[in-house]
Amino acid sequence: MGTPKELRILYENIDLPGMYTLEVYQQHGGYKSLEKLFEIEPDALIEMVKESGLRGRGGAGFSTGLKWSFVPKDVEPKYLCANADESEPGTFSNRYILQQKPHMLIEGIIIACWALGIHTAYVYVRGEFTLGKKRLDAAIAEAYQAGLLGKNIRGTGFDLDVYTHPGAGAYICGEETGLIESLEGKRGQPRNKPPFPAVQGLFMKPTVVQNVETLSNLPFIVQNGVEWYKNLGTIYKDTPRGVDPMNTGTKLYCVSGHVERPGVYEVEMGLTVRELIEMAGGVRGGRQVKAVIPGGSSAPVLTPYELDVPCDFTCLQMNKTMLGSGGVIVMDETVNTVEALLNLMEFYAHESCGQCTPCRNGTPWVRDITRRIFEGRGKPGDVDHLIEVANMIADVDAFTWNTICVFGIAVAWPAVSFARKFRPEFEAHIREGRPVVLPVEEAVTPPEENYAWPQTIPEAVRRPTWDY
Amino acid sequence: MAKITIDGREYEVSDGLSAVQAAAEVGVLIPHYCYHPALPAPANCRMCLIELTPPGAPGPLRQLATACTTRVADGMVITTNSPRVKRGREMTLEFLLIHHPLDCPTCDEAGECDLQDFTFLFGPDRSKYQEAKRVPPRKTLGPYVEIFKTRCIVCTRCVRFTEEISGTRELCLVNRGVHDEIDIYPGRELNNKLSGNVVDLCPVGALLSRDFLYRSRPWFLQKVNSICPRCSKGCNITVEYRDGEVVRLRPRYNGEVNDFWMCDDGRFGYHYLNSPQRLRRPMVRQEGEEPEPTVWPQFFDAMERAVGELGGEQFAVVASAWNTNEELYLIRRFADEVLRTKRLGLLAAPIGQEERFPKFVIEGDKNPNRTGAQLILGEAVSTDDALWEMLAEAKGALIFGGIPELSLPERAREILAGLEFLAVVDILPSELTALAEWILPGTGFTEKEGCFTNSQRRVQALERAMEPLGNALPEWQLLSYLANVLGADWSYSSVRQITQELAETVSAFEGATPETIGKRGYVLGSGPKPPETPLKGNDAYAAMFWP
Amino acid sequence: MAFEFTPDRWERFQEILSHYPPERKQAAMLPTLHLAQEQNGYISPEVMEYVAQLLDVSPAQVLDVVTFYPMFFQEPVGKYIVRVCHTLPCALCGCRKIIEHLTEKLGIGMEETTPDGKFTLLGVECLAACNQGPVMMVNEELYGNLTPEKVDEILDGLE
Repeated sequence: MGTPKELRILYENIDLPGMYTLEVYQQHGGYKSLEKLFEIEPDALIEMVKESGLRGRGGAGFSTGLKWSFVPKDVEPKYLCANADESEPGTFSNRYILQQKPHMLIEGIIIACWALGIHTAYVYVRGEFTLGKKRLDAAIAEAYQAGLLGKNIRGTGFDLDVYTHPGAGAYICGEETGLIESLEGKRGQPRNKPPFPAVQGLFMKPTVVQNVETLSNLPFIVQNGVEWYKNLGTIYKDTPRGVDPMNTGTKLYCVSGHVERPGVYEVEMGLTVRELIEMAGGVRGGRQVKAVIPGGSSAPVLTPYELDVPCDFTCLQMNKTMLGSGGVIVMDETVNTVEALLNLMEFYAHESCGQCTPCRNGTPWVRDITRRIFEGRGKPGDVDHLIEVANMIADVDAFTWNTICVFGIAVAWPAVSFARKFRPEFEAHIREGRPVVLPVEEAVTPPEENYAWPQTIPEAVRRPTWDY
Repeated sequence: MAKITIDGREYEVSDGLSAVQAAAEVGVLIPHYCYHPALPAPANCRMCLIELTPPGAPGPLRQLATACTTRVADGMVITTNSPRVKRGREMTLEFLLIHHPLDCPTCDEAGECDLQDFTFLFGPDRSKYQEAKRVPPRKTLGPYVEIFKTRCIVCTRCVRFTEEISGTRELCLVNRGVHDEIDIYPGRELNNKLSGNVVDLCPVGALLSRDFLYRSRPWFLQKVNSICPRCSKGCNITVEYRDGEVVRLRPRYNGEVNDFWMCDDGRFGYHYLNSPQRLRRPMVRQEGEEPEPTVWPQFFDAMERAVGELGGEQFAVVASAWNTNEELYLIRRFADEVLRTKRLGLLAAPIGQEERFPKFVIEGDKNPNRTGAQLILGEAVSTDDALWEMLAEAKGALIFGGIPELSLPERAREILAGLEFLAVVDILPSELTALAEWILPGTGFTEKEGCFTNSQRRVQALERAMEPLGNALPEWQLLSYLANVLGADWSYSSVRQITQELAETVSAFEGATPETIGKRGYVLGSGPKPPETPLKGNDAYAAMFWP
Repeated sequence: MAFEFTPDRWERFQEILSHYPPERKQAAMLPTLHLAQEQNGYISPEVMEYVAQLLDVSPAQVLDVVTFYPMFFQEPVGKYIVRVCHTLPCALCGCRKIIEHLTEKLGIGMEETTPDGKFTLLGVECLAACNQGPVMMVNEELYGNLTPEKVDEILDGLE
């Protein structure tokens, strides 16, 4: 077992000047997958993607091939929505794909649409991604010019139109049905499920919503084959019911916060949180880690006691947090965890779409309690109060929620995990009536009192060797 | 029919229902706010939580389901009373209440408020909330609707109503998250003809009727079932009244007539009934003088004299398209058998504009009973211009008015002024009474019993809310007395008896007996009515949740 | 003053409209509002009524959308819109110092516009460039790894 290393597949040549143009992209192997693609029967392609173990990179980690298999064949039209509304705090890998390798996304879209018999795709681009949208629009225009999009692509008789659609600053539009509503020209309020978008989505037609990173994996699966893809990452055996053992391929880890070299690290899935921090140059100034959010701000926080969990879908799920969008936010010993939670709760209170009761009224409530504690106006019992109210929005232990979408659990997870895991620091605020930063050892709830321990890591069938 | 299990008991319910409706069919209440069977279900209030076992599943779903978005299917198992469901509802209510003011003592909705009722039934008995409450402003949305934003729970029923039913889309949400508010576009109003329905739809005291504002606590109101007289649609309504005044009209569900709705013309067009100008006693006008109060026997005597002098066949009898079937039947008999005159007329409010909305039509005929009048008086009855020509040939006339805001053409006023004897039965001073020698107080639609026949030939019953005003006589009694004074031998003792006789003697009304008409009405020519069954679908829903 | 698209924007609007099924004109709402805001600076009532008419919806439906999305302004804004990220990753990297510096330098609070109409200062949620935190956007341009000095340099370089 060597040391984890970067393995750039999606991000290969991402910094190359002009990589966003068709010419440079093609010089470096771009659109090669199309030579094989149109030889593959759509159904076989869906099977391939299922077999590859590719899981959605947007947050939920749902098997992409399985999702595709739910799409009815006999309903027309069908739509693909590429989700480029990257807004989860701590996540920034899609931004650079749009800015530097937009053609890779287009290639992925062509593949997905071929598999599903889709002739119209929309790329929902975050409103603030001005450069990314400009580059993607230009790339789409180039692709039309080159006959890669439009009518009768490469003489196959396959038609595909791709359009970009700008968002306007609402986090919730990253939720797939919120995105669909927004695309329809309405508030981005998520829909009730079922029906799932695969059955009834955009304009009430079957729709597949797929994250930019997920789609960007497709060209490599088609070009290099399923076996090649499955030889990347980690696959477990004997996972509990409801836990998908597949963590194939590489993941674009976005490391931010208190590390020496924040950035996007493309690594086979299987390295631990600690190793990832090392890869990013370690904690800035050689300080101690205090807290790490492993999968975007919605993921439950990890303490220094939990850094040896592999950073993949399966293990993080089994350790009551999630890989989510792969946004790893590192906090060192100088951080006030109450303030950090307040920051997140401000975010969620601002971004709650307001549609359903628990989230609309519960999120600002949790924020207000957190703020009271932070500002030294907390009362004894307020930490439990905070946990109770957050658990009313979504019960993190039962993993159930009464909200329409998973935003509810995205609020409750950080709230409950911060309050439980850093309870001593929260209590110190209440006791002292002012913000208090405790040393790491004192700030963290002792492992034996924390609900998340002990760590459970299943046995792996396949693990990265890092020997490249 | 679908076989389902609710709370451990098996039931058969209608197909295609939401779980809320299905439960209502079998008498199980599933509390909800945003759901309404006539609107799309956004499931945003999270109140109708149930434990759901889909058909064939080994056990209940891990998450609670929303009953409003659950379509019943054979083999489905629903639990509404488990600890999980109770806790779920309790949490939803706690969230709903954190910004809701405790102003029930001054809120019109109190007493018929779903938030109040469900909190009482299912809510927590105290709040854990210690933070600041939001206090958004109160605002006038339109001529009839006021919003108290503090009370709003953002269920968006009202917004969806303007999208789906009225199609006018004046209402929207503004802002986001906890700052969500129901609002209108600046400078515009919620002024479509169906606007009042959003008040009924509002499950809390956020949208209130400006007409009803602070007029009564709802529990002081008495209620009867009635039919709106403002057009020929015959919307089923409830008349709510107090101390001899009509205070509010609200629609009653009838899936074959008006669904859950009524228009603002009908809803707010009742004020004439409460007017201080209402006629309360008979009056008589001496040549060129102001009318003086008199008593009924004076009129009967005068009528007897006039018929004697002028001859019954010289008399015209004019019914009104606002008369009930029963009144029209007696008018017809009075003309045919008592006066033996062929001069029979029908007075009606002019045809107005039909107004179509995506899911509601306000009819153009602004009379509740033109269809009944035509069936009872015959197609040949003189109406409109022919009516005045017919009156021009007559010497005396007995005219039934009762049509609010009726205006006569100049020619009609000349003709009426030329009659040697003119008695008018009306409820308010009108252009008719201004010309009459005898001004006789009749009854408004809330003061009488009887039936209207709507444009779809559905016979529907009015229940009497109030006694006739002062010395006013119900028209059927007035006609009975008059007939007997003129030598007939009528012995009606109730309106019901007339309804029955009408059904037996006028062929078009065959089968339209008090029993078949009931609360839902009877469509003429539809044959024997099937036996009553327990309420199904929306009828069951409405019985449980709609005024 | 009635609002209408300039001829070139009208063409762009027609192009946008062609992206959606003809019976789903409302889908063009966000791109159309962006286009209108680009021309008008903010979404005035005239703009909302114009867009409503173009997309066959009611003005209230446009208002409903405009008030949901923070990128649409209902009041005039400055020539340069300065969006400073204040979410956790940037907060960890010291965005508070940048915000303090900006408010001091521009003499305005958050969500305010300088009296000369040059700058509008907004605190925004995560801009998805956390590796460069603290970050801000000035109109369409993103700036990362900010220091007070760098902020001065950027803002002083603007006309």
